[in-house]
Order: sequence, then C-alpha cells, then structure tokens
Amino acid sequence: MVPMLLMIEDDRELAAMVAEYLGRYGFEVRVASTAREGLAQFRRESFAAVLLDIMLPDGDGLDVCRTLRAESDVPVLMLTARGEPADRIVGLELGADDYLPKPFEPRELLARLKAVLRRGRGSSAPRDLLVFGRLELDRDARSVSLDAEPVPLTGYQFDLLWVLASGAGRVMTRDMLMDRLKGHEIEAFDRSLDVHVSRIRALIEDDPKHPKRILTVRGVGYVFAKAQD
Amino acid sequence: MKRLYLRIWLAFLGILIAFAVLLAVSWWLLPNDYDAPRFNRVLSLLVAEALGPGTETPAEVQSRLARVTARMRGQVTVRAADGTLLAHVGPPLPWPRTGIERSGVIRMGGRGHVFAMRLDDGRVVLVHAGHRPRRQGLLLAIGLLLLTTAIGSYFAARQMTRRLERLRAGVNALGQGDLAARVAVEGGDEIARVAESFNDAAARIERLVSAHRNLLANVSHELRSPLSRIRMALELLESSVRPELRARLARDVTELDALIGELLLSSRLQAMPDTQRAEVDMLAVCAEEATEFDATVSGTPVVLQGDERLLRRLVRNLLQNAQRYGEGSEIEADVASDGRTATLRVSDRGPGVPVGDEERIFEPFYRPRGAPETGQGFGLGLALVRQIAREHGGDVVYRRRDGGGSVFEVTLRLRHAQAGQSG
Repeated sequence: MVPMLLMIEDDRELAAMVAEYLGRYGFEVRVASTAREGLAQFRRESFAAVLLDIMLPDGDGLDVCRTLRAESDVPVLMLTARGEPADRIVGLELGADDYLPKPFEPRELLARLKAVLRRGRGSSAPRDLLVFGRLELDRDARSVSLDAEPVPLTGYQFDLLWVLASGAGRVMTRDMLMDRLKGHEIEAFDRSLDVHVSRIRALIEDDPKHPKRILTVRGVGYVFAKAQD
Repeated sequence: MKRLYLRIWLAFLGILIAFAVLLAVSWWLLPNDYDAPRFNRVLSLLVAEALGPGTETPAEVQSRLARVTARMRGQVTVRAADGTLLAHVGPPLPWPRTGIERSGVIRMGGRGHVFAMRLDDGRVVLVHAGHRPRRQGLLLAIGLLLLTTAIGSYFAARQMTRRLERLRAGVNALGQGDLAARVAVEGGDEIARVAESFNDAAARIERLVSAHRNLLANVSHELRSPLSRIRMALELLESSVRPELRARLARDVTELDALIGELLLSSRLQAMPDTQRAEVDMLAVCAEEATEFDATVSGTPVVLQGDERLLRRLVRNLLQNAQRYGEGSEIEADVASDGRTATLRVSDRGPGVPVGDEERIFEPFYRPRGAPETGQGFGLGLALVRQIAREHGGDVVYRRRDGGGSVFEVTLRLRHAQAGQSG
C-alpha cells in the first residue's frame, strides 16, 4: 500500500514540488494550504504522517500540532522558515516527532520522514531509547540499529557505546569510562578501550577513518557527538 | 549603604527623640503655676481666715491648724515672715531656700513637692502632701509615646520603601529579559507615578521587541520560502542537466541560507538576547565541530553555563574562518580554564590578518584593504563570534602566532550572570 502523507503548507508551489519529489520515492502526498483545511482533511482520511508548516495563513502550525496530537498518534514532521530556535523546542514539546528548518535538503526531508515513520508512535510505554539521527540505541533490547539495520555489537561494546551515548556532548576521560564499565573485568586493559572503540566505529561510522559519532580528544578521552546526521 | 527604609525610620526616630527631650526639658524648666496667681490669691485669703488674723498666740494657731488639718495626711507648717516656727502638724518643714517671695509650688531638694504660700501678713504656710510627684508618670508616658511612635514609624517607613523595592524587582525582571514584567501601581504619590512610568516604558519595550521579533520572523519567512522552492526545484531537475551547475546552485542556496541565519542571529542577539543557559562542555563542542574541519582538538574538559547553540556557532565560525583563510595549514583548537573563565584558542598557520586590522576583522562584513570586490568577504562570522562571546561574559581577541599564523582567543565566563541581574 502506498503510504499517504498530508502536507499542510500554504506555499502551493513548494508543496507541489515536495509532492512530486516524495512521489518518486513511493509516497502519495495530499496538500492542504490552510490549518482548517488541513485538519478537515486529516479527519476525513487516514494518513501515515503529517508534514506541517509552522506559519499558516489562518493560524499557527503549533496549534495545529497540538490539535493533531490530541486526536491521534500520527507522526508529525514540522517545517519552518521562521528561524526562531524557540519554535523547535515548542514544536517538539507539543508532540512533533521531528523538525526541519527551511530551506531543507530534499534528501534530508526524505530521510527524516522515513525515520519518523519507522519509529511511529505506537508504543506508549517509555523505553530506554537513545536516538541520534539515523542511529538508535535500545537499552532494554540491548540492541543498536543504524538506518533501521541492526548493528552486531558484543555485550561490552554495547555497554561502552551506551555509556558514551548517554553522556553525549561531554568528554569522557578514559578513567571515567573504565570506572563505569567496571563489571567487565576481562577487558579492563587500557588499550583494549581503544580497540573496542575502533571496532564500534567500524560498525556505526559512515567513514571510520573520519569518525563523526565517537570522537577522540587526544590525551583526554572520547566524546560522543550530540549533533549527528 | 543603609537601606532606605532604615534611613527614613532613623531620621523619623531622631526627630521624635529630639522632640521628646525638648518636651521633657521644657516641662522641667517652665514654672507650672504661671496661670494660677488669682486662684492662689483667693486661696491665701481663705487660709489666712482659717488661721486667724495673726494676733493669736502660737497655741491658738496650733489648735486652729490641727482643726483644719484633722482630715488630711501630710505635713503642714506655719512660719512667721522671719521664719520663726509658729505651728506645725507633723515634723516641721524647713524654711524654703528659694521662691518664698511668691506663692505656689516650690521644689525642695530630696523631699518632693512642698507647697509654700505667703499670706498677706507675711506668714508662710508650708504644705507637704506626702504623695509622689507625678513627673515620673509623665516621663513614662513620653517614653511609651516614643516607643509606640518608633514602632509605628518603622512600619510606615518599611511600607513606603517596600513599594520601591517592588519597583526595583520589576526593573530587574525587565532587565533580565522578562518583558512582561510590570509593577503594581499603589496609591497616588511619586512612587506610584514612577511605577506608572516604568509600566509604560516596559509596555513600549515589549511592543518594540515583539514587532522586531515579528519582523525577523517575516524576513526569515519571506527569504527562506523562495530558497526552499529553488532547492526543491534543483532536486527535481533532470539529473542530466549540468550536474556541476546544479551542485553550484545548491551550494549557493546553502550559503545564502547561512547568511540569512547569521543576519537574523546577529540582529536577535543585539535586540533581545534571550539565551538558554545550560551546562556545556566546551571541549566536547570543539571536538564535535572539529570533525567538519579536520582540526586537531586538545585541552581539558571545561563545563560552563551557556547557550549550547550559540557556543557551537562560535566554535564553528572560528574553525570555518581558519579553514577559509588558513591556506590549508593545520587548524588547532585548544580549551583551557583557570577556574573562573574558559579560554578557547583556534590557531592556524595562514598569512594572518593585515597589520592594523586586528580589531576591524570583528566588524560585520569586514573586507581586507585592497581586497577585490568580487572576493569573498568575511561576512558576519567573526562579528557573531564576538557577540556570542560577549553574551557569555567574555570576548574574543586576535593574536599573531609565534612562527606565523593567527590565534583567535576567546574567553568565556564559566558562570555568567546575565546583564541587568543583580548580586
């Protein structure tokens, strides 16, 4: 079945081009150019996801997002040309699944759309899940996936990656890492940390020689990048 | 400096104490019988009548005195004009040292009040009623009055200045970016007028900032909507059509978008710095941003209170600058801290900034002297670095590097109180 999307966007030309572009990747896009029309259409038909512009002629996209969230679990991807960083926070707080500033890379739109569709909003039970762009870490299942493909990691490697990722944006010294991975006695050699990091990199980095996720700070330790993809 | 309410209260109290002291002193000093001479005159005639015309023997005077004083307690003494004791009830009262030339109340040392009355025939009647003088009661009353007024005036002064303090809190809140901050207008005095003026000014500022924000949002929207269409149209173009030109166009769109972003950010930072403060690890931010520029990162982890989005932008702009003008030399970023400030140094081995332009490079759209018009300008990058550094209680300076090249040195306060915040 062709996934059907609803795009609530007052820029008809842009909407038409997005519809054409996404059409090439097997999506069918319905366009509504006002908040009212969009909500009416949303209630009439069933959609796999909603692309929502934040500035609409008859209201605020944020209000539409609130209404959509109150009525349904449909994934919502917000688009905005307003350039207010606060909008992003508000949008995500209101339950939007992702947020993309205009002008966006069409390919990025596609990737993010696929990601929100994959994640869905089905399970409401809180899971110990860390998501960094295309990379997902699930603590309960002790599994890691990149682009929805499972990444085969050993138990120690998963724990190491989890410790790094849960401290994303902070430099972790070698001592801190060793301390948090105390349970794993066999692997407590200092050098083995680097070996494991390079093995993890080989699995989750697009280019392991130029890592973008696990970064080395010479003489200090590692940092798991907060802003990825 | 003393608090205003305390100063008002102390001034009030000072005046009150001076008033009380003056009152007491004048009460002690002024004669209190100045309004009673007529009454005393009548009284002296009656007393003379009761004691007899003055021709009696001392025994007769004594018996008349005893009869008159039978129903009173206290001492009464009658003396002749020369002080000779004529009669007395109770121990005889001594001849008053002063004040005998007129009748009325005479104070006699150590014995309380003694009434001395000179009769027309020169005799003097001295009466000591035996009761305590009421002056201590009056002093007590003055003391109580003083205490009550002191307490009352304390609260009055506190009440007056409390409104000033509320006003100050409102001004502070506005200074810290709460544009909806208003103060209650209480009463109709000067403080109330100031509160009204503050509220008016705050409302005007809020309207202005809101208009500015709307303008920025609209400018952003108007510029970015066509850019979105261009970017989308490029993607829809047949892939066979001049791929290098399409890539070039896509880059231009990205650059234009970045420039719009920087213009908006700069404008927003100038007009309404509403930075979000959180803990940011500067070394980690550098390590992350460095991956895009192939820069070497060293230093120690330094966590500061700041706006991560802005600090990332600061690091990125410096690295971008080093990449653009470092002529392919190695870019190094170093993070250090002295416990109060974080220092970030981004260095390259490029040709460096022309002598004399070390400060000018931080001006928006700086262009080196003699640079061709078509050449790439510096844009807003370094100007933003300076704005962001200053927003975080620090600054950025340019230094020449030993052995050639540039060092951009940024200092950032680890914990920075926002402008307008007190204490």
